[in-house]
Amino acid sequence: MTALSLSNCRILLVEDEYLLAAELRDELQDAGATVVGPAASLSKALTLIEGTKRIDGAVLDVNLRGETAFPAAAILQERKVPTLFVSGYDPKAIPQRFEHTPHCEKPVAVRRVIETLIRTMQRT
Amino acid sequence: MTSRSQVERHQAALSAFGDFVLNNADLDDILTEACRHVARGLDVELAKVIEIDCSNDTGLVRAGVGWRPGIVGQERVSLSEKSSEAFAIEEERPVISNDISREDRFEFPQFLIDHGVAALVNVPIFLPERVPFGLLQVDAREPREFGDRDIHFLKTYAMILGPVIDRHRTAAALKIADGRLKLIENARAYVMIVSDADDRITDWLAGSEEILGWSADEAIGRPTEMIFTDEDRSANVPEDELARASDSGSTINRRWHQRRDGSRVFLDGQTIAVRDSCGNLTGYLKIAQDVTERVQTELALRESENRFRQFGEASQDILWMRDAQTLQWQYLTPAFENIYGLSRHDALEGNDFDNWIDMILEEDRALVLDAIKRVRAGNHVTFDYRIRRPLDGSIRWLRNTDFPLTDAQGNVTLIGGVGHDMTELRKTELRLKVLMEGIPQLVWRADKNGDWTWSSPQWSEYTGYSREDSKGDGWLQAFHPDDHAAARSAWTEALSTGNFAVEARIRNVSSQDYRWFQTRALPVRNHGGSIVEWLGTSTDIHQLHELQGRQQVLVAELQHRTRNLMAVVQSMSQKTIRASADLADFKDRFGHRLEALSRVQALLSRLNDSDRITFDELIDAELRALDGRVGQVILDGPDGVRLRSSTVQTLAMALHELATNAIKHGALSQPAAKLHISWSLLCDPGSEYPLLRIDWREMGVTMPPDVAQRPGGHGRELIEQALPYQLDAKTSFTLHPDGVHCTILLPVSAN
Repeated sequence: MTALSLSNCRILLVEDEYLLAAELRDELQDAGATVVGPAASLSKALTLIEGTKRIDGAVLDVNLRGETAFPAAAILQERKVPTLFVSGYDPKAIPQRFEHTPHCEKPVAVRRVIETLIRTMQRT
Repeated sequence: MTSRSQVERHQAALSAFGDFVLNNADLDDILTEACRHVARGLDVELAKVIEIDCSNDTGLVRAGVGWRPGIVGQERVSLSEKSSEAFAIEEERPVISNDISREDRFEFPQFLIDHGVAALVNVPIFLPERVPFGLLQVDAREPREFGDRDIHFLKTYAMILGPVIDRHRTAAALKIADGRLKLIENARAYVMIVSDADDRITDWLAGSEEILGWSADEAIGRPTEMIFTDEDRSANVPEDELARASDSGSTINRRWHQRRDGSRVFLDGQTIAVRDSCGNLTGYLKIAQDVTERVQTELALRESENRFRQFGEASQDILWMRDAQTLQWQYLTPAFENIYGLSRHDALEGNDFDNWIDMILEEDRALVLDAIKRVRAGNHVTFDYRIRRPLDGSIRWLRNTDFPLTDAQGNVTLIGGVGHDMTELRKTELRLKVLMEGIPQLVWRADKNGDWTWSSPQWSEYTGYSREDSKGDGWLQAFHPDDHAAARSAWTEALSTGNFAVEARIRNVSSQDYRWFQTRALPVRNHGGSIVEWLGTSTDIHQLHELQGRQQVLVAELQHRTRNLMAVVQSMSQKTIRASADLADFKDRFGHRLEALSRVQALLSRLNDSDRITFDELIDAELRALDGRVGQVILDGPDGVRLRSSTVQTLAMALHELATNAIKHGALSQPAAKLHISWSLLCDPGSEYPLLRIDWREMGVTMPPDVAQRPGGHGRELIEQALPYQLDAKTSFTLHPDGVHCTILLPVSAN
């Protein structure tokens, strides 16, 4: 089961739904990652990004209590952090500048999120 | 003088005269010489030749000797019954008056008396076949007995003169005939036929052969009726014509004739009766021109005129022609009566132009008069005007198209006009105008290339751009700059698909705001199917557009929430699986959690945008699900504390876990225990939102001994971690000896 490895990776987790955030956090940790966050709001996410020098990958929920996570995604894009969106939105709702950012549509198995994240990180 | 010497002298004189006649060609010289001979022969001073003129029953002094000037060639003698000359011709013998003063048979002309004539002899001159020519006369100034020898001498001269005169006349006639023939040769366009008194053709001249087809050989000897048509022949036209010519000298012959091959030719000319000098009918001359072409042209013209007249009579439009000077109608078709409700007879009475102007509404007269002025100046004009019908006072709209008709010099001599009744069309137009200007849409027309030609007043009112400003692609100014490209490409597409549609923003001039309009147009096509123009409307769909926008957001939001909920359920199930001892345990726990979640969803789904779920509603719904144990619960707090919708689900799940725990192990599992739930609203000046403080206190519970060592359950996790994480709540969870005490401080919706 633990063929997936994120050992020594610092993964930023942004998700406003506690249950999902907690589950993802646990799974990431199980995969060997150090979780930065989770953050439930955009402002917390931005604070974390600013305060964390090294981020190896990021999982972002798109809708954060009515705000979008795109400002955070933009900064991560500039920092060339491999990023993955997880949201209930249609891919159409994602702005064009993030068209190459992978997107997992909810509901999605946590395991699949982690697989996609690892692939994304390997590509870059 | 002896008779012998006299005879010899006479013979010598005759011989000399014979030489003279042979050497001279002029008849007058010969006649004068004859007079000189007889005067000398009879020893008188005066002699003359008188020529009969049948036309007026006189005799002209044709030649003479011894007469004063003014007599020869001019003086005439009467050939009445009382004249000696007429008597001599009648009697065909010489008549002698030895002494005219004693003569009671005759009266004598004055000039004889003036010349002192006292005696005279008249000898008639006959042409061959005893046709009388005139007289040879010898006049003596004293009474005298003319003897037989004298008379014989005179008769000899008269008999010589007859053939001489005849020969000269024939020669002259031939000369004239020669000249005429030459003329005739040049007159190929003429039929020229001479026939005798029995109407047998004797001459077939000029263009007769060419025009009628018979050669002279074929024609000569036949009656002239052969050139008449069968109808005319059976109607006795040929005979009637000859009779008329014979009676009146000549008659007009203008009719269709028949050629040798049976085809028709129209001849226009005369038939002339030919008479000799004494008035006897000698024949007929038919002379006529071939005018077939002209007649056919005239017939065609008449036919064309006839057709035009029929066309005019049948036309529902009024056709008319006016004299350009007097402006009076010269032609007016019956449609006038229908349209004007006035008979043409009445309309044409007096000055018909004034009559017409009188029927035109006063306010339109200036326009009409100006148009008439312009057409008189040579322009084509089209103008609309109204008339009031004298018949019923009703108003009719008319459209006139008037045009000048000019003569060869370019002067306007006539004015032609077509009058069309536009009343019905005007009514339709008016209705259409009311419709186009009354509907809330902005209406416009464009030519086949999409260039605007017309826009409704609503367009100008809404956009502030005049009709003129909007023509061509001027309308684009009113469109939002970001929508120009869409509008232009919609036109490109429309020209190929025949359907124009674009949604674009159009600026309102008064608010300066752009509103969304749906602009559509359909082509108007001609019979051939090509596009003539476009009729378009722009409809304000701003509200619809906003609604659609909101709907899109809502749909996206709904999708997001649903999927999020599914994710939560998925996560919850994972969590429940991990915490369940067996499947029955899972089924029980998961079932209750799912129910709690459903209750929240049910509450949320009933809400409008501005509605909020209140805390009392939420707690009520949760407790009602506890069935039967409500008696142990004490509720204490205000109604109507509005929860933020985003917080409801998580809060409800936390409360559900607390209640489940209370039923399983806490206050609601022991009849003596109580659950006290109290809440109040706090106003925190440092916070954006008011705060709801919830106090969950279980009392009188006998706690199991190992409770403090147990790991925190799902409920505790939600209170201690999920609410702070997800709702920025401040929470506490304490296990007192007699039960759980939990506090939640939660931002709620501002009222």
